Amino acid sequence: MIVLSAKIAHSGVTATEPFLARCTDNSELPRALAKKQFLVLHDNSPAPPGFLGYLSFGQDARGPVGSQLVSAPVTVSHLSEGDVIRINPAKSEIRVLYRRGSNQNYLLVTERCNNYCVMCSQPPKPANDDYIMDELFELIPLVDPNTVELGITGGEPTLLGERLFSFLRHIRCYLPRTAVHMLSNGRRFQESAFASAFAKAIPKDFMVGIPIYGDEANLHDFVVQAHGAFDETVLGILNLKRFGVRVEIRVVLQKGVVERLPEIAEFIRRNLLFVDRVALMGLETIGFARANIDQIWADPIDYGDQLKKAVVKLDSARIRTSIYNHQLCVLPKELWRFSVKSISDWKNEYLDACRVCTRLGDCGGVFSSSPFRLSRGIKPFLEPIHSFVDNRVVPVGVAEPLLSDGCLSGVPAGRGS
Amino acid sequence: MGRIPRTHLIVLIRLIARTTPADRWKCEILPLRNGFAGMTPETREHWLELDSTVYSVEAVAKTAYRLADVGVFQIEHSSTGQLRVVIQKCSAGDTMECYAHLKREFLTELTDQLLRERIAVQTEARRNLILAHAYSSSSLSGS
Amino acid sequence: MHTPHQALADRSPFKGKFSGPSAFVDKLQAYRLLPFDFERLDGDRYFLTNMAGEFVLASRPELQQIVDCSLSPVDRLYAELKAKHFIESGNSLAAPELLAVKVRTKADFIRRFTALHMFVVTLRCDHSCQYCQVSRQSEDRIAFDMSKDTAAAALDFTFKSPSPQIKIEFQGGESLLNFDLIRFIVEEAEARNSICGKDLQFVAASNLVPLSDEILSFAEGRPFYFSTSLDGPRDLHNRNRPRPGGDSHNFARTGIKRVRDRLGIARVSALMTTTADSLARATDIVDEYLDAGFTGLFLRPLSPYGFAIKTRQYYNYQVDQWLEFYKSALSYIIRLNESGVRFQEYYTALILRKMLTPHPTGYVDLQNPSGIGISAIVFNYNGKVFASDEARMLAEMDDERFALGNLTQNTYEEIMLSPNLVDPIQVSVLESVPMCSDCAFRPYCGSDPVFHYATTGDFVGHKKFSPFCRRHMGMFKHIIGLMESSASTRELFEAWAWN
Repeated sequence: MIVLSAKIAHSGVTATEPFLARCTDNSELPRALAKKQFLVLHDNSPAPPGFLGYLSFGQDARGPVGSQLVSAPVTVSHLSEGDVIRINPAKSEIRVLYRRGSNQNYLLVTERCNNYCVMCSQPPKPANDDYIMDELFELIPLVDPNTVELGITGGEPTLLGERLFSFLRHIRCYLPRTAVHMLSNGRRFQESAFASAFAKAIPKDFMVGIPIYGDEANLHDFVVQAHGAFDETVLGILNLKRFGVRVEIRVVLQKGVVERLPEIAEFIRRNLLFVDRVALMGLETIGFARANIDQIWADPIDYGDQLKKAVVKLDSARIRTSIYNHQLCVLPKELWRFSVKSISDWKNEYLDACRVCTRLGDCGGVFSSSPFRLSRGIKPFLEPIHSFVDNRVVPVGVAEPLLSDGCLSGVPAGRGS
Repeated sequence: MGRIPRTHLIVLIRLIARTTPADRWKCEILPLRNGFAGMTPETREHWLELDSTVYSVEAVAKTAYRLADVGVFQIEHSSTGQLRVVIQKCSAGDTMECYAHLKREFLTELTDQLLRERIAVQTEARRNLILAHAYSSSSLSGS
Repeated sequence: MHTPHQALADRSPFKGKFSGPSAFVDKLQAYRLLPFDFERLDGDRYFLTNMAGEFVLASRPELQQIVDCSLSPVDRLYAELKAKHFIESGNSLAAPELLAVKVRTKADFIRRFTALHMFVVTLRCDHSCQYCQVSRQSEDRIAFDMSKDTAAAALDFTFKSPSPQIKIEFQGGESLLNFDLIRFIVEEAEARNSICGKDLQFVAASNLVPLSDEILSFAEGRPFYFSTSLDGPRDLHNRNRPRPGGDSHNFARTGIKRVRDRLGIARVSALMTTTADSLARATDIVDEYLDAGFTGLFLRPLSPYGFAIKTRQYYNYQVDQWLEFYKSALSYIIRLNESGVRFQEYYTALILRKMLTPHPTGYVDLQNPSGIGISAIVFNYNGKVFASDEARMLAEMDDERFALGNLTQNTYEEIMLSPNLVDPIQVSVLESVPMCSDCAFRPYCGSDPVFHYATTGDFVGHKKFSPFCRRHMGMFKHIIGLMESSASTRELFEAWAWN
């Protein structure tokens, strides 16, 4: 579990408001670059003058006299080249906003939301939080342009309206090679004009992840606690596909939903066959999920059957399907090839029992929040493995075309004219 | 890319207008005057009398069409304006039981036809909306 | 089994700001019907379908409740009906929007337009198959070969089609007897396609007797396929398909092997024609296909040879016999699958694709509107254009009802807009035909104006006496019954539908 924020001690810091800074561990940077970056100091590494600031861990702040010096706990000593931090001098806080070495950088753009999901891991707050976006606009130019993927999350990003479009264009300008994955409930895209403008603003490599929690409105609307949400979401998905935006459907596996999982899969392949991916997600027991845990917890070893049926349905329909946040020991073996080692590095952990597991390297472990509620089925594999288990999502094979009179047509409709 | 002939456009328009003119159902509806021309009342043993405020001519005609392989039916108005279905022939046989069975079949199918009529009336607008949208390239809920 | 709402209700109520599932249940009588049709299946079971071919089974009392708008919102059926768009509630356009997308997808074969173009390159043939309707000519009469000019005109026509996929199928007679012309057509087509960029495929329908190394070499490296006839085991096949020198079966089997060895297993397929003799040999025929290394077959209906036979009893008897044949072959195939052998029945798979997936299909004989012209077209050796292969056969019996024109005299528009094409399509559209217009199986069925015209003189006929209707109704009901009675068969059928 990687710590992303801590209290600091500082001296010589001139700003009173929070500010962002890029980190470097290269003490020999030319001055033109050094003056914009904080030098990260480990042990007794040199601290030549010319840097924006100096960051040490677990020791007194050190650096050239008169410079901006910060001392942080060793919990954040993972900071290194390319990472971006926010220093809040008034509150003596440091926060890690971006880690170059992570494959899961998610940017939270707002905490406001028009849903109120019973298992929300990021409970919404209704207050105006434009300052969040202000800071993110500053962050983007500091992000390494070689970053493979960035995530955008919330709250509900589409509530930002035009500001969201500007932000996406901003990313497109500064990070043209970066893939962007945005999470959204999709409801606002039912407005054609909004979906169209959105489609024009997005970077080239872009996908929206939109949750669906039922094959009809009542179940979905209950999970997200908003009447009319399902219909809006589905119409939103249709519009997004009309305008050529890639869409991933996400389903969180919890009580109420898992019982209906095969039917949900059937609904998706009959109505939304043209989506680009489906992600079946294990429950993360923080936020509202923790508060409502007794109502919504479903043990994976109890829903293996439904999960198998659903995956078979989606896979047969040639929809790329992945299972996230499940440990290998609680998944039926036939589903291992759909399982993605997905818990982000700053959230995951392994239990003591897992240390002896022969499949530890392939397994994503558990959420660090999980000891709160764990599957009964977690236990280590003890047999040696003989083959390499590839946990990355495997593209589905394509069948031979039929030679008889029946011909296959996989063209999705509803893509405009 | 070649021109798309008007053939399939004609076909599409036809799809939207569902027409079942009575003459295509090949049934006869005759007014009953003094008895029935050419037959004495005694020979017309098997018939059903139907309340015409409940059963439409179309429903009765469709039922007769669907049972054309098990019987021959003649549909007429009675003097009181009710609908009468005369079973001229029962393919299964000539016994009272055969005719009774056929009448039951007729009524069962007729009840289903009424249900179909109700569904059609309730869903006509939606059906047209869906068809019109399906065969166009614009979105229902937007530009 | 509990509904999700019941499952959640078992737990303690949500705290604070959260509303329980009961706050998200539709009020009583708060739903509206969406368009659907129904048929009685058997006993008390009714089969309901919507405009996109999705289906639900219900009892008669349930059906009544549904239409009366009195179905309980916590009934399992209620959720299923909403999910499958038989009913809707609320104020949004989500349901009609999704239905429209699904209907449009199913109708996509109309937009794509003509893909299959059959070139009758010769009438010469060495076989005298008992069901062949072509007035075959003996092998040496090249007067019945298609000319290069005709072939070129046919290619002009072919490339006018807007379809992104073009399949050129060589027919006859025995098509390979005029291989020189086939070579010409293929090379010409490929040259034109280098500009058009369509997905171009060639198929030679052949008894494989004339198969030579030269032909195989030509087929190598290009999408050139062979489709041959394999009616069953040797005795059955040869009885159906006599030739001087005999043993058509041997040629078929060795031909299949030759193509596979040289070009690959996917390059040759086989079709069976069912005759009266086939009807008792269901498992033998399937075994023959297994033996020949195929992973499926298409159980074709009884060849209606002798269109002149119009007595209805005869047809019903034949249809019922064929249905028995079909059921026993299918049952055998299902048992094979259960024991681990992958083998499909393609006619069933086609119907299953219509029932279980949103995908359209391109099988000419089971389309609504009719697939004649829209999905397929035939160029006869003499330049005459026909709406389908059966239409050509009718012309061989001196009935030109479905002759559309001539390549040398008529333009593309004149041919495709010929009343001989447009009228039968228009008149036989199932939504405006008695009985079909409210039949629940309509999304899976097709109109076949050529068949109905040949047997009744009418593009539509009376469906109660139509062998076409009887056969398909029998198949649909049988397939549904199989799926409902066995979960493993249901799973197998889903795999067939989606693959």
